[in-house]
Amino acid sequence: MTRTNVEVAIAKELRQIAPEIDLAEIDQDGELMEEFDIDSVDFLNLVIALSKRFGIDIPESDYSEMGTFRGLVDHVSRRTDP
Amino acid sequence: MARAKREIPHYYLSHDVDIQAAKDFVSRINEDRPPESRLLAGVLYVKAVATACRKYPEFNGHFENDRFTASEAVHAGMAVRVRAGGLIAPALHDVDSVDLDTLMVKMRDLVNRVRGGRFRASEFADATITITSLGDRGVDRLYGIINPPQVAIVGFGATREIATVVEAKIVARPTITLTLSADHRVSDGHRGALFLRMISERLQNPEAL
Repeated sequence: MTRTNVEVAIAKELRQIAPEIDLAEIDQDGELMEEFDIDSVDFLNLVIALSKRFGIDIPESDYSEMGTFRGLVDHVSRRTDP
Repeated sequence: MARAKREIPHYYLSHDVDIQAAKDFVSRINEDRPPESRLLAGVLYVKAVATACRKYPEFNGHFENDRFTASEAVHAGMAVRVRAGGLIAPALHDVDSVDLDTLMVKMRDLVNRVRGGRFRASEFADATITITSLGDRGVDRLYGIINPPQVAIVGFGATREIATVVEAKIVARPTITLTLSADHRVSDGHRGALFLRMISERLQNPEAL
């Protein structure tokens, strides 16, 4: 899957969790939880949704690479690269 | 809220808790689990409060008509932020008698329903104690306002690394500050301290929760 497709898919999942946040206005290198104003339950819901959507395992050890929106997209792109 | 502050004589206590054991337990459990079966540290906190309520019933019940009635069961009101603004605290029922996995399912379901605006009025009235946390993006300690007719609210601060002494050495340990706001008509500082210390002790042995 291309990085753009991954980004669009992730943005869609984040919109489910934080519908009032405009992706165009967030800092893609800012702390994800801060930028989208989400808590640990929201983050876990995001991991569950991404795991299902992309068919990948996301262990807790991967979380440190998913701390920003850009980091999250990069990480999932790498994991879904054939 | 204003009535609570006016009518309930609040007293406040705080206690720092080393949560290394709790963090390690959650990491170990989650290592081999798919995300939908993972635990959050919050369920350990809720269970620890629930077990302390069994030993110190004066923090778990309702004060009505000038009388306190302790509750047999522990129905923990969970303070959940509503995205549109505001905070509500519907109850997780019987938290003292369910295991951590069941509690996690119930907690996620409750939070998701609150976020989706799907909850029942009875879920508010049922709570016998409230637990509040601003999460790891919060502050070191938070003192809640008691939700009448309850008589206590327990706060969990953000996790922070602090320098502490363990076996005569200075080490960095993940720590949270636990707080209690309680009704002085029903309990006092001595009992409050024992209650908080018990929550702390339970968190040092998460396998037994």
